[in-house]
This record gives sequence, structure tokens and C-alpha cells, in this order.
Amino acid sequence: MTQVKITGIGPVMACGQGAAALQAALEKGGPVDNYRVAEPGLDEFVPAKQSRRMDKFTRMAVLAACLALKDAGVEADAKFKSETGVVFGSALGPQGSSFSFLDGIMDGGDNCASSFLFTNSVHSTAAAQVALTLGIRGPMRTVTAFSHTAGVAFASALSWITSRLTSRVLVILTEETSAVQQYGAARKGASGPIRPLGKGCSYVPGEGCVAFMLEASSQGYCAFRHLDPCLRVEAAVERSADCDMLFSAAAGRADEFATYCRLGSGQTPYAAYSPLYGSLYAGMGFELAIAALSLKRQFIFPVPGVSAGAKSSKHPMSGDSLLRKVAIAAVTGPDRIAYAELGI
Amino acid sequence: MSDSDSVISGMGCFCAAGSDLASSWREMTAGHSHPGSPARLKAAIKRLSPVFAAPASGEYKIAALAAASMEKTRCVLFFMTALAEALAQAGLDAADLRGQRIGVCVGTTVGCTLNDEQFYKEFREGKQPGLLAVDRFLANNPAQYVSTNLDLYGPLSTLNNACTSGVDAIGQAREWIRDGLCDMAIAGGTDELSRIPYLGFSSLLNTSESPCRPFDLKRDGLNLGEGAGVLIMESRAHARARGAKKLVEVAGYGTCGDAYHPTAPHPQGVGLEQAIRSALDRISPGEIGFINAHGTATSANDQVEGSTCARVFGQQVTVFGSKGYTGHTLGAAGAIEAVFTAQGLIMGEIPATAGFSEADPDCVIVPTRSLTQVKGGYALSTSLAFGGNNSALLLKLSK
Repeated sequence: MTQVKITGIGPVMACGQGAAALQAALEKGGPVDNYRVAEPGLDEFVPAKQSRRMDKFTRMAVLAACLALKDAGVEADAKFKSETGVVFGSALGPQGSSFSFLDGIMDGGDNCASSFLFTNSVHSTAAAQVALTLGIRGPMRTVTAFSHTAGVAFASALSWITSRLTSRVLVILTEETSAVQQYGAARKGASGPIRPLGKGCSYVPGEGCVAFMLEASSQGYCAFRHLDPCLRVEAAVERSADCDMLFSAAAGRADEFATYCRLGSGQTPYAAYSPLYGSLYAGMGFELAIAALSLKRQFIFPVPGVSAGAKSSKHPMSGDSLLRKVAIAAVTGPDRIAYAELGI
Repeated sequence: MSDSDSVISGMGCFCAAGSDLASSWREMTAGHSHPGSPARLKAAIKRLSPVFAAPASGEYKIAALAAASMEKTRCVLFFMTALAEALAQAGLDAADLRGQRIGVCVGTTVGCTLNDEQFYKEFREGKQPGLLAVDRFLANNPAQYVSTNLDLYGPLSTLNNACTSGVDAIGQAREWIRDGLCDMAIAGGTDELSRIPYLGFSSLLNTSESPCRPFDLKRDGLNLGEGAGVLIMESRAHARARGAKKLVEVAGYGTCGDAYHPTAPHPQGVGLEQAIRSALDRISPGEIGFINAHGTATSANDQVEGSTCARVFGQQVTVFGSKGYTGHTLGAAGAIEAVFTAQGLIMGEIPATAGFSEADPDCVIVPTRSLTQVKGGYALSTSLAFGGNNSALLLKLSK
């Protein structure tokens, strides 16, 4: 089977933009108190005339894609344009443009419906703008299935590369929050700060984007060893037993608590970094980026909320560590896990 | 990889043409088209466009498939109705599917968007609305709804690739089966008429105030529609093991971007041609019996699609468009049209292209004017979308 490697990552998060910023935030450790991403600046990559047509959701995606490309050292030449695919995932889509479209017709009447906002309210517009910006003419796909989103997005990318449909795939996972989502979270009793494995409801809607450049390559952060977008919990525990670490997308949702506890019941050291990026349905993608950085650095970043002296904890201790293979898992249902393994 | 990685053992559709495949096909082959008033959408705009509404709620056949606990959206009701038909044709009982490695891939646009105007209005006004609208949205993601309600244990994905979503869902299900992620997949698309796309497409000035005229010289825009199309797809080995009847086979799928414009197709159909050639990977263009074209009746789409098909297959290729019977059902379109393409192969005939009367030299191809006999074991369905996405699905008649 073709070995698919992560050759570049492009995080756009409240704690910073780019792989170096993510690494710095991870080294600093601890939760952050604001998960809103600052308005993404695209001047380095996109002419202002073009970026003006993009909403924040799309700008995050385009910036993340450009950062991943840069991180991978890939040039957007003719070969790249014809042999690259884009898989875009978002659990909730472009909330800003969707609600702004409604604002327009509620404020000005139906005749004031905005074609600009309507176009931007379509989930796949972000992928299209990435393709337009980079000139990509390969396959494009946008998936939106809540906590299943990241798993099925990576499944598409791996399938395209291993079947030789494309040489590379940009996988981009984006979530934008909104006042409506914040209101919904508050009404449901989400209190924060995020306690990934706390028993209560502590989620805080996050925002951000992370892009990955996946290629059949001998170089890169790490390789995909396994991916199953739908695995039973016990099977995931069993599979992760020979991994050096398990990265979990737990993010303080009460309805997932019991399943995440079962997932973490094995002997494998267990970590969840959601306090750094917020509670996101597509959080598996962010954990995957952190896992890739950990493998590349051979370093375990401090797990937010775990003090350095907590030796009784199942959480791994921060510091240099031999990491050969790690697991990344997200709960997608009462007995369903999206599961991936990355290795050096 | 074999010539056909996946077989189709069951099909269902629910749309303006009919409440199931048999009635839809009967209406279409008789040339009956049912555009209607958009009054239900209460759109206060100058350019009102007819719509193709799905049959009334009395036609929903989902009792055995759907939980009663949460209010279902029309998207989910349409899909479950078409699914009931597809399962019956495949000789499957929903109860037997529980716990099986069955994937669910559904294309949609409205079905994955929280655009409850009443809820949002109250929220804007600071009235602290209850979260029923949010909970309904969370419970009605089409693929998740199907998988959860049937208690399936396979991957699930809702695709929003705009107007190629339905065909791309079939393409994704094919990948899953080929990659061994599931043995069987429920694939298709669903969408419902909603004020948001109605106002949105109107703002883009690409709706017609009269019934749509695909590929016609005087075409002036699309009409929106609603409905669902569902395919039961399985690996050859799985179908053989359970003695399933193979109706048609998925023999190819291609999808490519234009990288040209956020809403308009590439004028030379660069991405569409690449998608078609990718789908035809193992056969020559001459082996195609007919094409079910996207044919939205917008000026740009039909010109690009017609001229591209003529370039690949020749000017005389047999083409029909079904949006004059269904309207443009957005995320469902590619799936409904895949069902019609399969039915055309099985029946050996395709309907007239409703709304078409006068050929447009710019479209190059001339679509069917009457019920047309077709030969050949292969047929192609094409879809184009916002953002320059183009997809093509190749179906093969099972022997």
C-alpha cells in the first residue's frame, strides 16, 4: 500500500497561525480564554481584490491551505495544480455568512437578499476559493457530518492518493463560531473552562482551521498507518494498545463523557488538547496536527490542565520521548469512534 | 480494481415527477411536467420563479424506518421515503441491517444548514428562543439521521458540494466499498424547497419566471425543485453472497475542479471534460448509450455542458435532461439523475427533455425531443456546481 505522509500543516487558531505558532502555544501549555480567531490576514498569499470576496470562514481556509503548502515546501506549479485534490470538512459550515444572509432579508426585505452572502453561505465555497487561489484543478469534496467530519475527510484523501487519482491532497478542516452558537452553548449549560474529561458540561465553542498537505512521499512529519472512520470503542482501545500515546478529541461535551472514558480505559498514555483550540466537532483534525508535531519533534507537549507533578495521572508527562506510533480518536456516537494512527 | 467495483441492487426516488421511481418514470416518459406556484415560500420578490414541489406528505412511506422522537425535516422525510423504496427493491429489511458495516453518504445543501428564520428572528430580537430549531438541525443531518435510525456501523458522510453533492455521494460510497470501509452503502441526495436558496438564486439572477427550458435557444434560467434519490450499493462479493439482483453497476466516477470562478463554469468546460474522461477511464466514448445531462437551463451551464459533451462524444450523442420534470433539486440532483440514468439503461429508453423545443447552436448537442430508444450498455450522468466542481458518473447495465 502507498505510504501517505503528512508533509505540511497549516493551523489557523486563536493562539496563532502556522506550525511554529502552534508549537509555541503547545510549549507554553495551558488553556486559552478566547477561542475566536483574529481576522486572518491573507496579504502574503492572495491579492486584496480576490480576498475581498471571501468571508472569514473562507479566509481561514485559504490561509491555512497556503500555510500548509508553504510548510510542505511545495510550489504551486503546473504539476501541482493538475495533480492535487482538495478535501474540505466543516461540521457547521460558514455560520457568519449564513446568518448575515438572514440579517439582510430581515432588515431590508426579500429583495435585499445578497448574492455575495448567499454564495459564501454554501459550505463548498471555501474549498472552491482554495482551488481558485492555488489554481488546483483536481477533485474537490466538502463533507459536513458533525464529529464524523474529520474521519471521513481523511478517508477521502487517503483513498484518492492510494488509488493514484491524485498525487497530493490538501485536507482542510474549518469551524467558525457565531453568536447563535455561543447562545446555544450557554442555554445548554456549557460553562467552561474546557475540562476534556470532566464529568460536567464544560465545552466552549471553538473556532479555527487546520490544513494538511498529504502526499505519497518519503519525507514529512509522519505517515498514516491506519484510518477507520467508524470503529467500536473496544476495538479502538485494543488497537491503540501498542501505540505510544492516544490523542483524544474530547472537549467537555457531557453526552460524550462516558464513551471517552471507555476510550481512555486502556494502558496507553492519554491526552486531549482541546483547551488550547476549543470545543470543535472537527477537533480530531486539530489533535491530528498536534500528534504530527509531537512525532516530528519526538516531544510530548504539556497536556492542558495537567500539572507537571501529577505522576499518578494517566496523562503522559511533557518532555522528550520516543514516539514511534500514536493514535488519534474522536467519539462519533455512543459506541462509535473515528480512529487514526500516525507513525514515524 | 475490477471493471465495476460496486453494484446497485436497489433504487428509489421521490420528487416532483412522482412519489416513487415507477410513477416518476411513467410521468416522464409520458412527457408530463408539473411546475407549480412558489406561493408556499412566501417570497416577496419581483422575479418569481415556478418550483417543482415534491408530492404531499401523505406519500411519505417511512413508518418502519424513522424514529418518532424528533421532528423530521423534509430533507430527511424525502430521503427516508426514497430509501424505503430502494431497500424494498434490494430485497432488504431495515431490521436486518442493524449493526452491519453499512456506510451512508448523502448529498444535500439545505439539509446541513441551520437557517430557521423564526428562530433567528427571535434570537436577533433578544427574545431568548428555545433551542428546538437547533436540536432539530443537529438531529436531522441526513447521513447521521439514517445511520443512527437504522443503527448501522459504517462510515457516514453528508456532502455539501453544492449541485454535484448527490453524484459525489455516490462516488464517495464507491470509494468506501473499494477501500473496504464498508460492505454496502446507502448513497444518494436530498434537498427541500426553502426560502434561502430560492432568494439566493434569485439574487444571482439565474432563475426563470417560466418553466425551465434545458438546452433551448430561449432558455433563461433554472427552476428549483425538491426531492431525494437513493441507491443501495454493495461490493460484487457482498451482492453475490446474499443473492442480490444486480440492476446496474457503477463503472466509473470522475470529479474535477475548474479553478476558474466562484459561481460560473469554465467557458471551455475544462474541469467537466476532465471529469468525464476520468469516469470513462476503461471504455471509449463511443460505448456510451446516452447521457443524462445536468441541464439546469441557465445560459452558461447548458452552453458549457452541451459543447463539452459534443467535444468528447460527438454532436450526435444522445442526451436528455430531467430538470424539466424535477426542477433543480440542488444536492439531490445528481442522485435523482443517477437513478433516472440507471432506469434508462434498464428500460432501454429515455424521456423527452421537458421544456426543450428549439436547438441552440452554442449548446451544439440537441437533447431528446420525444421518448427515445437507447442502445449500449453504458450511460453517463453529469453534474456541475458552484465553485467550479464537475462530476461524472458512469453506469453499466448488469448482464
